[in-house]
Amino acid sequence: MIRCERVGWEIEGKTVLDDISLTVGQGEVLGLIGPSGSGKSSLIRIMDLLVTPTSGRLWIDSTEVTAGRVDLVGLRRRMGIVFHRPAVFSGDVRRNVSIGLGLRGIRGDDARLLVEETLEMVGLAGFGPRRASSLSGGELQRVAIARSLVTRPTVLFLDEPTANLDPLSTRVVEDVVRKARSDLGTTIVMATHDLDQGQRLCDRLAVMAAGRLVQVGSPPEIFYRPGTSEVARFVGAGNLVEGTVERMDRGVAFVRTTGGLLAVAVHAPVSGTVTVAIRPEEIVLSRGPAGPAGSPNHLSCRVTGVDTDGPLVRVHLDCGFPLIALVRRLTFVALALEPGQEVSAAFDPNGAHLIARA
Amino acid sequence: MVNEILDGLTKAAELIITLDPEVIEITTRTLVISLSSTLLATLIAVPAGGAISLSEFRGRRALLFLIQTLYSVPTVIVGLLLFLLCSSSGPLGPLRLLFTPTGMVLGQTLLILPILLGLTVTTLDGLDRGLHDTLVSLGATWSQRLLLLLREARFALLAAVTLGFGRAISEVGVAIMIGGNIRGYTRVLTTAISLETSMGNISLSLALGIILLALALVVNLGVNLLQGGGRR
Repeated sequence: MIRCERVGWEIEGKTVLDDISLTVGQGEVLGLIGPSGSGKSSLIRIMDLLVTPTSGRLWIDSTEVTAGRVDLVGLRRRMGIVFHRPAVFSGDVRRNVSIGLGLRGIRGDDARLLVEETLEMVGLAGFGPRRASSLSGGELQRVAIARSLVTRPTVLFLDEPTANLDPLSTRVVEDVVRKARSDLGTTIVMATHDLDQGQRLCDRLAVMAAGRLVQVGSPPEIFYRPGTSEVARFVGAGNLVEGTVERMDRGVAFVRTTGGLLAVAVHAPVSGTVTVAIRPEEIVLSRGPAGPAGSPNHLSCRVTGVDTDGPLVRVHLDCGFPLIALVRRLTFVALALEPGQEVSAAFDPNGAHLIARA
Repeated sequence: MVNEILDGLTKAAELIITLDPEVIEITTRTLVISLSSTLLATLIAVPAGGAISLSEFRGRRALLFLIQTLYSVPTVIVGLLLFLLCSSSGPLGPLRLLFTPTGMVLGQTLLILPILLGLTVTTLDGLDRGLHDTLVSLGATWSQRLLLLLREARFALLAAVTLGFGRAISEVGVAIMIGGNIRGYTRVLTTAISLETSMGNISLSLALGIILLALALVVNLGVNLLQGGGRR
């Protein structure tokens, strides 16, 4: 459907995108995740043909866009984009939604029917005669999605569609995205820095950092088997512990760290210096002893700090290396955790991931 | 002085109420010439300004700077330039535009063209960038994009046109140098005021001035009503 081959984009000597190779399949929902300024929006603008890459090649279906002499308007009419800050045209919602239809010469009853159908799909049935500028941020975003979907695009690009919305509006917009995919079979490429949203909506995630594509994979792959420390840090595998592989035994690597021996399940043999990524929610805390002396993954720690993280509590520990554990509030209360207290931390070898040093 | 103003007001009321034929004729001519030049300048400036706004080219900033500099070109300079161009030995001499209402329309058009052109570019450039991007992404052709963006900017453009009309109706340099203030043919309100003042008819000058102001007021009121109605 869309293929980028070594795509790069430079503006005034500054590299915005570098060596991006990526394929988006028909009907797929692909999420571009990464910190602000990592190039997600720029890549979306290139794929939506709003800007031309300065290097590399880009295909939309079988048409190589970068080859020149291409009907850009025709290609753009097969796609749609929703920006994080929706543009509002003067007039009512109906006019805002039907602009793309007007550009294609679709007017009258055909247009009216499509607009009503699409407004219903985005949960704005009956909003047609309302002044667009009087709508809330969430409603405006849905109008922007309707404006793109009304032309029945084969690909829909969403650039941080819920960045400025409250949680309730975010859920509504997410439902609309799901419907677009299930009811219309639309291929969707969305940029988001909301990791949970990426997990909820996407078949695959592409992690970007500093204009480069760092890792592409399914959400579980990205979240539980990050390819680099950078990705691990971004996806919240907040504990990154340096160590050296001491030995391998039946699919488990034993890693010597400053805090003791850690056992990590691996799919292939590893050696040398590595980083152990441990997700905070995989760590179990207890008040008892840390297990047999020197047994792997049983760490004697001291609580250094505590803060809340939504419904969970984030416990900062010193286990010979800094470690963060996420525990439920009930567990936190039961353990009566407070700074300075000795505590045991443990995790399953399958709950950690090994990142080989490049 | 107060008496002269009061006399002027009384005279103006008298001239308007009695529909003084000469005043009506001068006022009508003033309106026709200024509206024609505003219309002509709008027809040129809006598409040209749109083209400049939607294009990226070398020297764009320099061109805008030049246009903005021309906002304040003295009317007598435009009058002089056009006089030289339209005089019998000038390149436009064969068109016999000198001392004609057509020549005055041309002169006023040239005078207000930079204002309308510059303000069109500034207005379109100032629109939300998201509108441009949304239209491009929806598959708008260049001309579709221009038309839709002009529609979005219509109230600001209307204000620019009003400003241009204000400059055209109030200028005296072009009107006198190209029109020549010929009674019954090229005399307009500003040239009539100039003539009557030089002849010492201060009351009549004031009356004509009040009519000129009233015209500007009516046009502005009309524009404001249009803008207000459109935004509701």
